[in-house]
Amino acid sequence: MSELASRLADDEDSAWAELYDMTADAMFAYVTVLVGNREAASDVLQEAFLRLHRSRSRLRDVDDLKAFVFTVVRNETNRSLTRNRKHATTGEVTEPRIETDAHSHGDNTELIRHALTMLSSEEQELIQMKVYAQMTFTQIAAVLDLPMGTCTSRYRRSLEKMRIILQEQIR
Amino acid sequence: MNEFETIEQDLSRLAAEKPPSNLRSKVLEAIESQRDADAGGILLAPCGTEHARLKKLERTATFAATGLLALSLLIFAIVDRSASGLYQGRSDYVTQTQPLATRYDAKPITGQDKPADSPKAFFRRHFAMLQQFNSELFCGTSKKIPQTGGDRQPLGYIRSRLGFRVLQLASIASSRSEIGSAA
Repeated sequence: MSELASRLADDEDSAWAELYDMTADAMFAYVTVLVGNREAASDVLQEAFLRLHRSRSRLRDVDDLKAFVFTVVRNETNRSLTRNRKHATTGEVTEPRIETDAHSHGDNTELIRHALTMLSSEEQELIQMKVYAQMTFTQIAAVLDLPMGTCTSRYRRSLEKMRIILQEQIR
Repeated sequence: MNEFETIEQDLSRLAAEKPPSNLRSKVLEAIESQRDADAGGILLAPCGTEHARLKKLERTATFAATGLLALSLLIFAIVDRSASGLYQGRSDYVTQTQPLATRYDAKPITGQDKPADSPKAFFRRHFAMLQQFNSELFCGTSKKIPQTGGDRQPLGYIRSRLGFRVLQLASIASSRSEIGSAA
């Protein structure tokens, strides 16, 4: 990974393609869940890669490249969400949150979505990082600046909470 | 733990499975465009350096202006506080004095409360007095000079008739030095 980081810092074409192949699927899934549609998620991901390219000299000092990429993607996602909220308050029409391809998986998906919204924003973010961005607890701890044990226990508590909510909904 | 895995799988279904196929090429093309733009920026480096220098100068000037303004306000506050101490809290001392002075200047010359040492008033008052004497002295001489056969000179007549006026004129003459100093 550090070898890739130094190649990225040297601005090698193949290194950027490699980084995309390595991270795009997980990052795209994460962004799509947050922004709600594939087009917006594509724009966010493209802008995030451009930001990474602009700050490529910093990549040489990065310990965990995936965590760094995720941080950039996360910041860009938050910027996009803030812009959308501003447009919504100024009366501009914004695209509704599109339920990607969830309908094809039956009603259970809706229950899961609802259970996820019942969690706090910190718990939701933790699950999004773990499940969608496919990050390890070490990477999550580095991004959130929390002890890894705290991240692990909080994640399990969040899933337990979701399980109870789902059980109540099924009854 | 199996329940957790099931929930994780269900959660992963909420997300899109794969990014659009053309996104990879779009991202790499955007990076390439940015690289070209950066290369253009390197050719314009001297301009960029100059621009950066001007920006730095502008930023410095902005901070300096703010600092000077703050310093001015501080000095003003210190002076104001010192002045308050000097007047023992009577900050209206100056503002009350000024209109009074203006009012005195605007008073007509006949005002009794006019300051005695005003040069203009002094001259006007004495000029009016002299005019009055003049009219009293010479109105009679020009129109009613007694025709006694030429044995009496007009001046002797005036002196005998208006002798007490001479004393007043003498008093004016005595204040000649005062007129000179006022002038």
